[in-house]
Amino acid sequence: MPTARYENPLIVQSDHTVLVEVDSPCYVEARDALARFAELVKSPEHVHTYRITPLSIWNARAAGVTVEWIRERLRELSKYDVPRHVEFEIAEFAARFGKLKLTRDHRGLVLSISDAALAEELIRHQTVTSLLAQRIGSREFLVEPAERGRLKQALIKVGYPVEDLAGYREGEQLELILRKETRGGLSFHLRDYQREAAETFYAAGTARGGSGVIVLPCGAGKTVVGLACMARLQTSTLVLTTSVTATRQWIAELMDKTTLPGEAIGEYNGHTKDIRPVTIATYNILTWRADKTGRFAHLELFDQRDWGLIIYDEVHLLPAPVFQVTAGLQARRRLGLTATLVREDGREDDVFALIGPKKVDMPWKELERQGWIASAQCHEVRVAMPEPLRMDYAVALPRDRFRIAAENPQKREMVRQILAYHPHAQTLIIGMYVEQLRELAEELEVPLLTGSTRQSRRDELFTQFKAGAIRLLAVSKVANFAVDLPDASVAIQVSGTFGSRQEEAQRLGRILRPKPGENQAHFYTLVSQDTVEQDFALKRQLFLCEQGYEYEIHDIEQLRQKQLADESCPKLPFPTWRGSNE
Amino acid sequence: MTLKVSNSKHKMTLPGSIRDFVERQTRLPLESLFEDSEPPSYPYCEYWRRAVAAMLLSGRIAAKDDGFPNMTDVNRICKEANFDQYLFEATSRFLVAAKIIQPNKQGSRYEPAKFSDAFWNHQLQPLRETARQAFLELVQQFTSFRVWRPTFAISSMLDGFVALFAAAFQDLAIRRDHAGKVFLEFSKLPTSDLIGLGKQLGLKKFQCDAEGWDSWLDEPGQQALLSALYYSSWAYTTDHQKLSWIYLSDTARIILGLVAPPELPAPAVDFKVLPNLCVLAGADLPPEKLVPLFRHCKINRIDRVFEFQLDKRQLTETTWQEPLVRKLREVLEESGPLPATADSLLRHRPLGGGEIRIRGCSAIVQSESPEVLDAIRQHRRLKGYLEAGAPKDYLLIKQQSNPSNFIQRCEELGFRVTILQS
Repeated sequence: MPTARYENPLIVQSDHTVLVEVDSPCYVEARDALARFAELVKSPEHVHTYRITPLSIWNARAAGVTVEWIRERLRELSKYDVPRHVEFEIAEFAARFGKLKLTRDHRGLVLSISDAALAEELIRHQTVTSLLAQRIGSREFLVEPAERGRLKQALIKVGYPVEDLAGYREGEQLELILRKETRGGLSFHLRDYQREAAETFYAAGTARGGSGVIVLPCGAGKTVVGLACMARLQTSTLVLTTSVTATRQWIAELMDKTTLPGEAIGEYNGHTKDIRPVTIATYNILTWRADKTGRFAHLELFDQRDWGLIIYDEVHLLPAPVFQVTAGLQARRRLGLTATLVREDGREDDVFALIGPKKVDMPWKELERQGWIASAQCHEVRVAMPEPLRMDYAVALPRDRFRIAAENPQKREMVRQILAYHPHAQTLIIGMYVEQLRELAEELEVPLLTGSTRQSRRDELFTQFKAGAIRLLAVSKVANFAVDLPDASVAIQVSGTFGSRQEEAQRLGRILRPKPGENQAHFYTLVSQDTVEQDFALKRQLFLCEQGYEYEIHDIEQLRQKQLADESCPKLPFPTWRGSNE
Repeated sequence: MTLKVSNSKHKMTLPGSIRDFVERQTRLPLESLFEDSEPPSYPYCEYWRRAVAAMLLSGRIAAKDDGFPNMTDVNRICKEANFDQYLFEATSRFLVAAKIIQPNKQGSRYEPAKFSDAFWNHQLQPLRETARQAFLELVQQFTSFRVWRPTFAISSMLDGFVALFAAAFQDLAIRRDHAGKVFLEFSKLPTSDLIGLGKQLGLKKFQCDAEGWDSWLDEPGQQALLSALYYSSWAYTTDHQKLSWIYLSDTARIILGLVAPPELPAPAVDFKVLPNLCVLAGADLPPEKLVPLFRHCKINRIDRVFEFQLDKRQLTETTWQEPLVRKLREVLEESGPLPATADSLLRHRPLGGGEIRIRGCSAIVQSESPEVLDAIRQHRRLKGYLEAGAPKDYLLIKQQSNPSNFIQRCEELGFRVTILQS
């Protein structure tokens, strides 16, 4: 019997999935190789899963990786023999790349197809033909610039990637240099992975770069990567963000870390409409319209300057109307930034086709290992429902059950105990139900920030929290995204949004900014035991588990009973509870 | 003509009549059919075959009276596992015919049979023996009883016939639509030449005695033979230039002793439970580990390393008894310490394990306030309808009372009654 190369980290499955064992001595080598031709699907502890897809192979080919190199790496690093058909199919996928090219010459935008038979096959697809302007040769077609995005999307759907070498509009020239010392007087330089991400996006200024998505965990400095890309391109930039608070943070970062003068930065939202060489707008204002059938008046912002770069912050939240406009913006460079490419609406493909392919995806745990983000301990604390509520819950209609469980009043006592366990930590209390948060905030005398809080009050609270003037802050889902609270090290989630995976990741992200000292964050999720909330919590957590985080689960009642029966039983997770038992 | 192939156990010289026969047929060398052929694999060790065996043993598939699996169960499990149900059906039929799996005594589920160990542990000799018997058993099943046949298929020596045919058509494919006729004509070649070829293959004289073969190779017999070849994985078809071609597989050649088996591939024995509740289990793990996983987990992927998902709903449905949860936990713990998420899920009390008390009633009554509830409870014309021990905020109407009478009385007494929809 041949010996398997058990120390090797890869297992290539016949459905093109590749499992990677993290504990193998060759893990780093395998990860670096796979990053070039496979997509990371999930990365829980011990075993990560990648997938080889036509798109991942085309991305690899675009970056100059050869089929032979891929085959060699797979064979060399696999534990078992690589299935022959997988090797064969990789070669097949790769052969499709480069058959279609989009270039620009004196005739305009031209789609060239490598062989006449393929050209005939493709023009028989209705979705493709309707996007071609004119046939100018047996293998060449003129394309309207406005259809560039939609044509690429349509061709990918029929299995043929277009190598887009038509280049970009350079946009208005803008001088922007990254400072070596921030305005605040701190030394500033790009971290290695930030520099690499910016360089990968820039691709030496060639048409091979200039559009794509960078996936970095919250707290890893996505904004800084955005600034680095702007500094590389030296062009006027439109930044789209999720909220006014995030807009202000972009402005603060631009002012703090670049040489850009204040008058070159404009803010475009419900309050201010100021268009400057660098303009930061919100998705909300772009998708605003007077009534349901009205037009999106603010989408004109895309044409009001000669933007050389458009940055989509939190690209996983990109609204549908912005997608449509983006299809017509293929001549401008586009950068998507996100911590999670998971879209609850499943439109990841549109992000790929219209913003660009994923250029960088850095596993969260990898950055934690390197110390760039805080290491996080995640706890799920299961709290029993009070006896009278249990019957209400049992007989409630299914749609009311989640709320009854989420608003379990026993959670308040648990919040107190967790706060007592972290007496000096900057702590966020996060919830979905404003009423529940209001009661908690009143009881604990904590300021509350919800959707109805005025912007000026929000800014004031965030500033006070950052300065340490207030230690506790209760926030609703308005603080889920793009809010930089670097000193928060504890988050207590009293209720989550059903099974939303990206929300759990975003909420954890609020506390991942690196901290001085032990660089440790704590994320607590309170769930009512034996209720539907427990099931939803599990669904939310799976995404974080796939990012390498492990949840410690505390079943409070069980621990209490065990401890009463057996002195040697591990103590309750929080010392204060022992006191309360006694 | 001397045929030589790598891995060949026998160097053979085809007798003249057989050689001429082969040359008269429309045939193609196998190498012209495949650009990149796979090397021969060890017989019956494929991950998907082990998956089918484990699924049958998992108890999620009922056995029908004829011993074959219930196709409703098969469709359900194949949909979950994204597995071809026709491949499942064919494979399970072979596994039952080869006495690797058998219906249990009650005939409702499957259990390991005589050759189970040989299958799970890749023991070639017993596998050879049982696969040949299974092939004949399948021929019998596909033709059923015909009066003009002198014997049952088990005594027909058709496995010997296939061995001779495989030796004659080594590395060659013939047209699929001609196959039946070619089989029949091959069986009519001079007996002495067939026996001579059989001798070279190491077959006993009675195994290559052409007497009676032609009675098995009438039209239904030809179809039965082809079906048995496919179900045993002894033959495959492939399309080439708009024609379908059939050829005998390496598995057939190894089982029939024409070539030596290749080395057994390195066993996939990976076993890990991940924090995202995913369980990875190599296909070569023993059935004691695999079967509980196929029973209690959601099957995400059937491949060299199987991928399962611990799923609360699935566990609730399948682990209805405490010992089953314990068994699954024991198996999973063999992979190392369980992640907290998995540990917590397996600590969850199974749905069927708790105690329930049931009482009958004919209707329940809800009121707008506790005062109204109390008024009904106290009213001498209404209290007789009520059952004691109702849950808080409710009244129960006795099982033997007619709720319509209760409603009528309430209305007479001025209560506004709304019938709640069930």
